[in-house]
Amino acid sequence: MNIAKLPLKNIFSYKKRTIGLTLILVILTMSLFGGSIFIKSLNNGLDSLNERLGADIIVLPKDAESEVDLQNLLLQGTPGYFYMDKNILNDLESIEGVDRISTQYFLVSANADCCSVKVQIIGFDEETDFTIKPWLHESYQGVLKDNEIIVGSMLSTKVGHTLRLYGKEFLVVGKLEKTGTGLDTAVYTTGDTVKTLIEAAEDKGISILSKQSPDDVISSVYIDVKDGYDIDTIVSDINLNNSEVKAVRARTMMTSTSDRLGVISSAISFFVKIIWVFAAIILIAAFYIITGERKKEFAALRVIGVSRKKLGVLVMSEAIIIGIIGSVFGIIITGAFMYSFSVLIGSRLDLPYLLPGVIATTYYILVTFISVVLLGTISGLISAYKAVSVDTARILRE
Amino acid sequence: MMIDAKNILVSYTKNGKKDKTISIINSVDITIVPGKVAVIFGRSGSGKTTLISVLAGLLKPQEGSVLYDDIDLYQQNDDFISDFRSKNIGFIPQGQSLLSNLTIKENILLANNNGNDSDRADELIELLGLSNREEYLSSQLSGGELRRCAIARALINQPSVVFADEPTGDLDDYNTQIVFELLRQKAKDGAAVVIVTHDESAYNYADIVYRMDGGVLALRDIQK
Repeated sequence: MNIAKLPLKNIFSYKKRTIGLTLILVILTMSLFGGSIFIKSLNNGLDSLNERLGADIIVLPKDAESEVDLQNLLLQGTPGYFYMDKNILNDLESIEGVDRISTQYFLVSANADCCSVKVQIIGFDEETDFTIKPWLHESYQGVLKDNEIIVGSMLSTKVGHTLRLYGKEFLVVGKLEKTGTGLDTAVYTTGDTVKTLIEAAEDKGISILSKQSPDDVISSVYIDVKDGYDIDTIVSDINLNNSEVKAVRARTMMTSTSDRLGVISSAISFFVKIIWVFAAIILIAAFYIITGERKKEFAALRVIGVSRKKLGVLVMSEAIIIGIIGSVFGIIITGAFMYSFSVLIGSRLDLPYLLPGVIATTYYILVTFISVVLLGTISGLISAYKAVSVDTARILRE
Repeated sequence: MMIDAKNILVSYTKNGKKDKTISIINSVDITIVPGKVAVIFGRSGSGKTTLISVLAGLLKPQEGSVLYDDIDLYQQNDDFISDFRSKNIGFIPQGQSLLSNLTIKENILLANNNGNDSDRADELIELLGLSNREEYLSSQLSGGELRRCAIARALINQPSVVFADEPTGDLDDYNTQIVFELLRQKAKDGAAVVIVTHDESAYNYADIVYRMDGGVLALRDIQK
């Protein structure tokens, strides 16, 4: 036994004291690490969604209650479909400033053998698409043929397997990376395949379109505006000249989501700060009180020749070790919770929620670890100062 | 090692007010010679514990000096004084002074300079009648056993100076005799021994006897 072994011996001997201090540090770690991961996941979700939208303007049928439906469809994965006359494309293409234009088709599966619930089917134009293909190509580089589909990350089917939709078999050729949005539960295919599906549904007696042919309709139009043209002006032009549709700026559509996310992020940041302030005060006070109660122990160590410096190092070492234990436990518990329940958290929030990757997570782990150990060290410093100030002779007289 | 303390003055100011200064030790001179046992008698509050705290480097006096041979103790920094105390001084405080989370043997070895002189620790444990208690925690020992353990801890480094503050306070007659004989033996081995006590039986083991009263030290008797 020597003084170097004493910090660990003290930590493991005085279990109640160690558990109490560790618990405070675990709470601090959980609030900081959990809060950071949570806010980052929300931001990731929104970024991911913005990337996926990839257009300046989205045009939808006016009676589709445009923003709400599309937001639900994209953000919450609520399956839905709506259609408008395809002729609108001629008007849109003739607008000055329009650079690229592409159409999409939405449909909802009656049932699919992959899933216990209906899934959203999104059909895009292989030739003109500029919004979906860039990120589809992260998972599948080929050109989608008829009866081929790519599935979202949350669907349980695998690449190479087939999926039955409206009685037809479709080959799964790709599976997308997680986006943290409703797009994770969607099926992607060509517009022509969706048209075939609409016909298949009609054949089964499920009425999708009341009068029109699938070849005469589209669900939405995505427009990319040339540099130098005002997006809002083009949106206004479309809305003024076409009473059957509603054009919305993609960024505007995300505003309410972004605002909600901002409010939640601010609230969490505020609570994390409050928890930190109170926990830091409690921690410093706890270390201080405990040090006060250990005066006799410190006096005994001084008597056997332990210098004030070594006494300070002893108290500091204990605080740092407890800081390390608390932060490691806190990170493990929070990490296990956040990563195990991320799907549940995302679905409860009704917001895009995408956990950070390995590098970002490692960064948050390091920042949390350093912050918590640093706070433990500061608390230890205050206690160490009290310990080295102990009046040995006075305690011996007592 | 000879200790020569000159003009030691220790006082406390009450509530930080200089006009309410309480004098604890008043101009004390004392010389402790190697191979001799010095016993300081005195009532409670007479300043005995404070005096040996000063002599052991645990309390810097307001005035005066403490020389160990040619080393002026309070001219050194705390690291030096602590290291010096660890190597040369065995201090037996009054009351319970063991670390409660360590076993008896761990408490003794903690004070050991090289940390693992287990044979020396076992020797002292046996000598002080603690052989069947070495793995006990302090909470499992009687007052007398705790005191004997503190004595073993003070002697683990074969110190050249031993300060004992009421070393027999919790002991029965049999153990009192063992402790005093042990301290007497330390003096025979060449150590300077200072005992602060109420126990009049210490008189029989003393070479020099002092009496302390109101912070003033007076030589009472030189036995041999």
